[in-house]
Amino acid sequence: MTQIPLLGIEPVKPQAPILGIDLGTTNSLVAVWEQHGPRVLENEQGDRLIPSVVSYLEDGKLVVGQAALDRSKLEPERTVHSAKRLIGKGVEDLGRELATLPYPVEDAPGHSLAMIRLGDRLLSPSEVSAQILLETRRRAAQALDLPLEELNRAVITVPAYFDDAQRQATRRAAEIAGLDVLRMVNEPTAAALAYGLQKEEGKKVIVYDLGGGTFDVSLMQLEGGVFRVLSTAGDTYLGGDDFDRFLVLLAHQEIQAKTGRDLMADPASRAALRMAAERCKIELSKQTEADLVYHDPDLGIAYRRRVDRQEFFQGILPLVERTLDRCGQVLRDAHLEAHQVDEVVLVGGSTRVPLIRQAVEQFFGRQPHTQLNPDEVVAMGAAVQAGVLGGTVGDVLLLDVTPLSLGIETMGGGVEKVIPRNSPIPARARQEFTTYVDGQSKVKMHVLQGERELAKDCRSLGEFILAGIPPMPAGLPRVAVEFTLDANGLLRVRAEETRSQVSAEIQIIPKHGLTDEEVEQMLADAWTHAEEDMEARRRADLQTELERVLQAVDKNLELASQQLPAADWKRLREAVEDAREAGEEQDVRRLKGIMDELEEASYPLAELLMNQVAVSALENRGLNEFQDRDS
Amino acid sequence: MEASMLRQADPFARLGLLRAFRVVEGDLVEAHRAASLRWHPDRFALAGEAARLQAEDEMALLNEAFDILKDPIRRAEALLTLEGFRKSETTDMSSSPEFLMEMMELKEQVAEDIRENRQEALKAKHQEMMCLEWDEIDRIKTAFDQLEAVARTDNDTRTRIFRQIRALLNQINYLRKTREEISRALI
Ligand SMILES: Nc1ncnc2c1ncn2[C@@H]1O[C@H](COP(=O)(O)OP(=O)(O)OP(=O)(O)O)[C@@H](O)[C@H]1O
Ligand SMILES: [Mg+2]
Repeated sequence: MTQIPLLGIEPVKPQAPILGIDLGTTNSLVAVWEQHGPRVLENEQGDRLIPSVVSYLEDGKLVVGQAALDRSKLEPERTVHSAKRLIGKGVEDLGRELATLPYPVEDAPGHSLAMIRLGDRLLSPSEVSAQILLETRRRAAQALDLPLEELNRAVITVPAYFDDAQRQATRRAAEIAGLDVLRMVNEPTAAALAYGLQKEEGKKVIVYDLGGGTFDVSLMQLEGGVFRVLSTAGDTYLGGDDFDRFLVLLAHQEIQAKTGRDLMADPASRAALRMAAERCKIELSKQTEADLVYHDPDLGIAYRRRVDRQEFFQGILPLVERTLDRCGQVLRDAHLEAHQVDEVVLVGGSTRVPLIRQAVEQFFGRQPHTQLNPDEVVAMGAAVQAGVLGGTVGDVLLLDVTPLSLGIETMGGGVEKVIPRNSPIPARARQEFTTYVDGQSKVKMHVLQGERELAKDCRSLGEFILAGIPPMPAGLPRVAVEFTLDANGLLRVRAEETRSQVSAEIQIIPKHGLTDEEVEQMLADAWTHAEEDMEARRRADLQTELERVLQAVDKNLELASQQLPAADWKRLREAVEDAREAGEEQDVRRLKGIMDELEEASYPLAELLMNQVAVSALENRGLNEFQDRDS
Repeated sequence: MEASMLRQADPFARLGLLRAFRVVEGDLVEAHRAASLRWHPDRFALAGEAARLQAEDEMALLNEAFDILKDPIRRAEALLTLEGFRKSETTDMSSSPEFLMEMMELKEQVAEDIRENRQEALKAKHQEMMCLEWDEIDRIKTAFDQLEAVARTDNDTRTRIFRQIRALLNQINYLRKTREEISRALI
């Protein structure tokens, strides 16, 4: 395949690379294209994943990434994670998601746009995502030793099943982070790019992408360097977070039954429980059994519960089946059968769950590809696309489709499709409408996205009015509506009455969007509040946390020395010593190690304490009953 | 290939294909692939705003042509229009009474299956409708073949064949609507 020359580009001085960013629900990554392939960028400690978490501190500063994730234990109600699940949504769209969030969410004044309430601040999910994007830029600046200002161009990935409002909101996030988005690429398509499957001439490939918060499946055909997406489907509310939720509820119910405590009512406990659930889930990917451990020295709760794979798999089975239904849908849409698929690629951290691998393998009757790290492959693909756009990768091209149909509400609440789902993008389509009342001078255009027949069941993207139509009998005006979908999947709508040439247009969908002024304000804010030294903040936080656990342990040291088995006592004593000496520790990793060890080592003590509480509770009851009978 | 090609009304011309109902799918896909490599906006990412917007526009035209030609019904419609056979000339042309009767019966059965949510029966009907649709498409194919054998000056014969094709298209549209109804009821 020969390289196609790029047209109209002046040779200029070497520019900073275009960033390839995977803005994930749980983790984000940044990669760049280098001479021979994509490279995922690391920090000095060798970490690649940036937790998609932002913590807004009392003093107005904020921290992002691992430092913020650590913080979520200390101040869960000031820490925002999974902002991607809120992006481009209104409160009414969130449903049961609302109850699981540690902070209140309310619509922005005058919009249907979910905002996060932190004290007196109201944050939009775009603003939060912008902070994560800024962090990826900082990561890149540090790793490439380039000034931050030069790293201002990016390819950003989004779930294939994101609708227009979610794409617009992601685009806004990039704007706030000072990034020029050269292209938004669908995550599964990016993953296919990373696998370099273009050599597989003529093959049909399924990409099954199950991450932290979203599920996508895309079917594509490879044609000599061209990736042609045939169909795509998904669910923007299905991912590893939901697997965690199953275990969280399990532990919550059992703890409540045993101790009467409602851990879900307290954001800090809920955050800790979620982490415990995730740990157990990940363990179950390696072993057939794992412990679900929740332990809070302050509340005197020590909960340990063995979970085997079968129980876990049973719990998540309905979710897995939902993903397989979507796989069936992409096949139907492309008029193909499962056995006609040549390759299956698994992407996203949640595809490490063995049940998922089995289910997908069985469904398509072939062993899936898993060679590349499922957390990193999307970012790598974004970097390949950055190489394509930058002109250094000449023999690859992505031809993607729109995941959801787009249309206009018609008389009586129906929907007239203008661009059907799985149409190749960029796309443009025109449809003619007319008036239904004599002399009607205005028509309302209600733009919708979705597959359902009725407007009320589809996603409303926005409304606009075409006014100034000269009086004519009903049915005579010719209102031509033109939908334009660009290569990013972003929609523009134009309407024109062709007899009188009155026209109107919407570009930014007002219903779920931020205004330009709001974005400008956020842009200014975004750059002023970042903590200068997040490492220092993280160190301080870990020390605070260590202090807290130490205090709890110290109070019961004597009891521990008397009643713990020798081995447990020795381990605890050593952990406490290490922790006491850690005041001067500068290395965050080592500090974290000491912290984890202390937590682990103090578990037997917590268990002991809890049993004691239980025993004394019984004793008390015995006394009461005795007294009762006596009196 | 020049950019002006993409601005033509004829979708065949946009893709540089021969104007005919019979299109080899491989040829169509290949033509679209080759043109995409040249015109896709990704090829103009750094070429400045104007060039990029133009590429968006041109690629949309290319995709539109591809969508039309991929679908035998839209392809046939496009050919009729290109041959100057307007829709209005067909208003008096209706389907055979037998076809209409058959359809009425089918529709009633489908409505009942949907009411009773008989998934298996619906799946079978869906399959059946697909087959019927393919049969009609074959008939259209034959009609276009006949058209090619007729002299361009023989207007009467040409009009007769056009009408026949139009009638077949009406029937297919009818079948499709019913099939879509079924597919919405399938989970
Ligand atoms: N070994 C493992 N076993 C099970 N689940 C895992 C494992 N490792 C990671 N996960 C889960 O994978 C999810 C994160 O995956 P990933 O980083 O691909 O998601 P993301 O890109 O942040 O989310 P999304 O793509 O949905 O926006 C989390 O739910 C995490 O718990
Ligand atoms: Mg992901």
